[in-house]
Amino acid sequence: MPYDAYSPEWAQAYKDELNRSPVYKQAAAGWEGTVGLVVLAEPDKNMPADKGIYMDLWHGEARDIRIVSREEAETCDFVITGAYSRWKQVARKELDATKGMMLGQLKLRGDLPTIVRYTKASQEMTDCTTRVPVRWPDEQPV
Amino acid sequence: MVIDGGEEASGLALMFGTLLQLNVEQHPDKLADFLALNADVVIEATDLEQAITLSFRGNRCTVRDGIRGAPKVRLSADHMTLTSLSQLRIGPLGLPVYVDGAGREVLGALLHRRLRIGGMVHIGTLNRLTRLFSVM
Repeated sequence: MPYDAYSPEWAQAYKDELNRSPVYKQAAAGWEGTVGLVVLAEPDKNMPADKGIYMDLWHGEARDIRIVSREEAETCDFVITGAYSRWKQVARKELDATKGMMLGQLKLRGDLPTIVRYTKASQEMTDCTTRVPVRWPDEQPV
Repeated sequence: MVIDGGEEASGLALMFGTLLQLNVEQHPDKLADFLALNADVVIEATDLEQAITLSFRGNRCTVRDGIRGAPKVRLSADHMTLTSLSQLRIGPLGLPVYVDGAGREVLGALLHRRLRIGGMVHIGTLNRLTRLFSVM
C-alpha cells in the first residue's frame, strides 16, 4: 500500500526499510550524525510548503526518521536541500544524489569529506527509498 | 583555495574545490603535497559534460570552470568514478592502495576505460593529487 510522500507513515516505512538493509548497516557502520533533507516547495506540483526530513543515523542504524519543518531539518549536522522535483528524481533513481550535488541541483551543508567517504551508504539510502511505495502529490487527481 | 565565480561556480567546481580545501585544513600532513604541486589539473565529469581546471601555484589553488591552460594531468570519468578516486586509501609509502574495494573499482575503471588519465607519466603529480583528494 503506497504512502503519501513525506508523510509520517512514509517516514516510518523508510526507517524500517533502512534498518532492514544489511548493505546500509555495513556501509554506514562508522557514521555518526543527523542528516536533514529539505524538500523545497513547488506549488505547481501540489507541494505548497517546504518540508524537512530529520534522520538520526548512528553506526549503521536509523534511530529516528521523522517529518519536520524546514527549520528543524536545517539544524542537522548535514543538510541537503533541493526542490521537490529533484528529490522525486532521486527517489526514482533518475538522479543520483552525488550527481545532483555536482550539478548544483542539490545543495549540501556539512562536512563534504565525510559525505564523500560514505557515498555507498548514501547510495543504499536512495535504494531503500525506491523500495517504499509512494504516492507523489503531483500525481494525484486534483 | 579560490573558487572562481564563488557561489556561481559550477557544482563540480564547488564540490572539488571545497573537498580539497577541507581535506588540507583537516589534515595538515596534506599541506606539503598542496604546496609541492605546481601544475594545472583538469577534472572532467563526462556524464555531466562539465570540466574544471585546478591551477596549483605555490600556496594557492584556483578552481575554474572549463579547461584552461595546458593541463599537466587530465582526469576524465563519470561522476561516480571521480568520487571513487576520493575513496582511495593511501598506503604507508604514500601511494594509493589498489587492493581494497575502492582501489579495485578504480583499477577496473581504468582497465575498461571508464577512467582516462592524461599525463600519466607525471606520476608524482598524480600521486600528490590522489593524496590530496583522498577522504579515507
